[in-house]
This record gives sequence, C-alpha cells and structure tokens, in this order.
Amino acid sequence: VLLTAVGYGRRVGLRLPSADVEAVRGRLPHWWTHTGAAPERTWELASAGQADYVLGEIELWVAEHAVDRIFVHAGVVAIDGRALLLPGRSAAGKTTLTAALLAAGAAYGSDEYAVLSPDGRVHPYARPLEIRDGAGRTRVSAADLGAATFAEPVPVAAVAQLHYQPGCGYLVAPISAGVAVLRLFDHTVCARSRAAEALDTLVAATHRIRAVAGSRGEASSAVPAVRALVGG
Amino acid sequence: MENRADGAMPRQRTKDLAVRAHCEETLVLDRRTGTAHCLPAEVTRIWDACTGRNTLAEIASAAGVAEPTAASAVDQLISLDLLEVPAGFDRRELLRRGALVGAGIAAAGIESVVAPAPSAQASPQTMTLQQQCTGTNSRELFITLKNPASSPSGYNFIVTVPTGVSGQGNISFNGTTGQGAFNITNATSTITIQLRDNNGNVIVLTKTFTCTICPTTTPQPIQACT
Repeated sequence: VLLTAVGYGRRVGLRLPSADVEAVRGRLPHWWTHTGAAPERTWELASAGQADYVLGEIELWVAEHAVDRIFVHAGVVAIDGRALLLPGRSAAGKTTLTAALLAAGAAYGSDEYAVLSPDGRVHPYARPLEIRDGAGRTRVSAADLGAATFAEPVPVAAVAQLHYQPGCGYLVAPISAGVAVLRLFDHTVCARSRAAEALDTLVAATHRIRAVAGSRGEASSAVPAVRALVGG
Repeated sequence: MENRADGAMPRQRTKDLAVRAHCEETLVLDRRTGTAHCLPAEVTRIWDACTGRNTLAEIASAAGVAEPTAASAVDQLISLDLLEVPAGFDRRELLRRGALVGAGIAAAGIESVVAPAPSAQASPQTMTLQQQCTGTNSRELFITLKNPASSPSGYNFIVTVPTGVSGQGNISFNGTTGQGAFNITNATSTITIQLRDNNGNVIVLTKTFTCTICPTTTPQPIQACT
C-alpha cells in the first residue's frame, strides 16, 4: 500500500504492508494530509516495528525541504502573543521545559521545531509532546496538559538556549542578537542546503529579542526567569 | 603595513560570502566552507575599514579602537579567510602589533558555527536487541540503534537489568546505525536498555526486551529478543 501526503509544500509517500496500515496510521506526523498527487520521494516500511524510525526520516526530510519555511530544532511557546524559542539538541530538555512553561500558562507551539516564515514569525508545529521518562516516550497533547496551542504566527520575543544539568541552578549569560542567530543556525535543519535563506529568516526573526545561553536545573525552577525574558 | 604605496593591504573578501548587517553586528556566511560568523560591533567596524587601501592606523582610527586591537582583529579575520591578503603583506608584523591583546579568535569575540547536517537535529528512534548464550552462565547482548542522526557519538548506553544482574559495554556508530556488545553474567528474561545523553543524565530512549532464558552452560546461536 502506498500512503501519500503533502506537508509544508512537499509531497511524500510511504509504502508499507497493507496489514500494517492501521497500526501506522495513528503514528503519522500531525501535518500528514492525504494527496492523490505523485510523491517527490517515497520511503519503504517493511513492518510496523520500523515506523518510528521511518516516520522520523520523513519528518526530517520535510523539515529540511519545506517550502518557504525554515525549521529550527527548538521548543516553542507563546506568552502574550510573543514567542520564546528554546533551541537544543535531542535530550537537552526542550520538552520538559516546554511542558513546564505550559503549566505556567504559556500557549503551545512545539516541543520539536520552530517553523519560521521569511518575515521571521513563528508558526506552530503542534505535534503531541514526547515526554521521556523511565518507561520510555509518552505522547501527550498540549490540551491534555491544560494548555492552548497558538494558531496564528507570532513574532519572536526571546531565545533561551538552555541545557539541563541536574542539581544546577539557572546559570545563563546574555547573548547578542547576532550570536542568537548563530545559535539558531546551529539548530537549523536546512543550514547546509539552504544556508543563505536560513540566515535571512533568522535575521528577520531576531531584530528585537532578548537572548540567553547557559544551563538550568529543574524546569519548574527555571520557568519564572525564562518567562521574564518575554515579559520584559 | 603602513605603506599603502606598495598596495600590500588586506581587503574584505567578497566572493562566496553572504553578508548581513544585524543591529550593530555583522553576520557573514562563507559559502565555501558552510560556516557562519558573527562579527561583534567593533570587529564589524574594523572589517568595514579593510578596503585594501587603509593602513592599520587608519583602520584603527575608522573603527575607534587602539592599533593593537585592530591588528589582532585583522589577523583573526585573515585566519577565518574573511580578508584577502595580497602578495607582500607582512603578517608577522601584524602579529607583532596584535600581540598586546593576545592571540586567538576569542580576543576579537568572533563566534563561528559550521552548518550542521540535517541529521544533527534528529532524535534516536529505534533500538533492537539480540542475545547469544555463550555458556558458563553468561550471555552476550547485541544492541542495534537506528537513528536518522548520522553521528550520535554524544550518547552512551547504560544497560539496566533486574536486581542481581549487571553488565555494561560500549557502542560504536557507523552512519545511522550503532552496534555494541555487552556481556552479562546472570540469566534473565527481561532486559531494559536505556540510551542516555553523554553526561549520563538524561534518558533519550528506553526500551524493554524479553529474551529466552539461556541454559546455564550450553552455547546457543544468536537470537532476537522481542
């Protein structure tokens, strides 16, 4: 069976055994919209057991090649209609801090990608949060956490590049707008293939921002200071 | 460097660069190397003054900095290949003049980032486990991790198994697949593998497998855990 979809202007296909379709359908990316058009690229799925890996590859490919959008690996929340970006590699603590900010009243954008348009505004990438714990990964919607998801694109107010360090306090230093651009560039999916476009978008996004970089301890302890970056 | 008549003065490189002013800073994308640089305000002014005609004193004056500071920044801009240096330019003299403010990129506050591969932004996705009973009440575990990330070298595997059982080993990555072998000394049916970050603090991926219990001293072929 070939499932075809369009996402962010790109057409993708997933070929899989018919017996696995139902098992995989519930794990498709949240942007998966069926299309009858021929896919630009097709992935093969031998069994449902490979679904997370193959779907991860599809999501990453769309993120790199999205039309008129730049994907930055970052958590995103909005406070009073202005976005806070939390760039970080896998396991940096983006999801945990995002969830803590939602609990403090922020609106959800993403725990994975900040999706930027050429005007520098952030669009939601509202997949369920993937919360890691001792039992593995649990997918939880923002609504289940009692949070709203912002719908319209919002301007960037702040960037906080924070790495989780157990037992550590909130140890950050301000960084300039230009350095913030570099830190975001370092987390941009298409930084190699569309470097100049990415740079232009990041510059547009960071004209009037506050930015910090450093480490944090428990997420709940960091929330007041992180929120204040936007509120100021 | 003071003699502009010989024409031996550094000047801004323009080919294969994308330059964006950002507030008082400058972002420079080097398309040859895929590297992005952020020049602080002071270095921006120095870089702007590197026209190929200005002496070091004139560069310093235009940027509003002392000559040693300008010399150090010019040297660092040369090191980053952001300035073209014509034949006859005396870089040793420049280094001598800049020595007062120290060497290295950090002295000028230039930050650089090499564009990462897309896969650097991916999370580990799947893990599989096989076992081979090696006899003498021990078994070897083979772990495979598949991940869109091409170089998850920052991860360590921590193997967690039930009470009374211990084992740990290393895993190496080749492309998108990592494999490692672990020896454990007690038979067990449930194996939980945790992938943690390179500090061992954050659990990136956890999966529990069920394996057939080994006969105590009989070697067995490799079989998959489920």
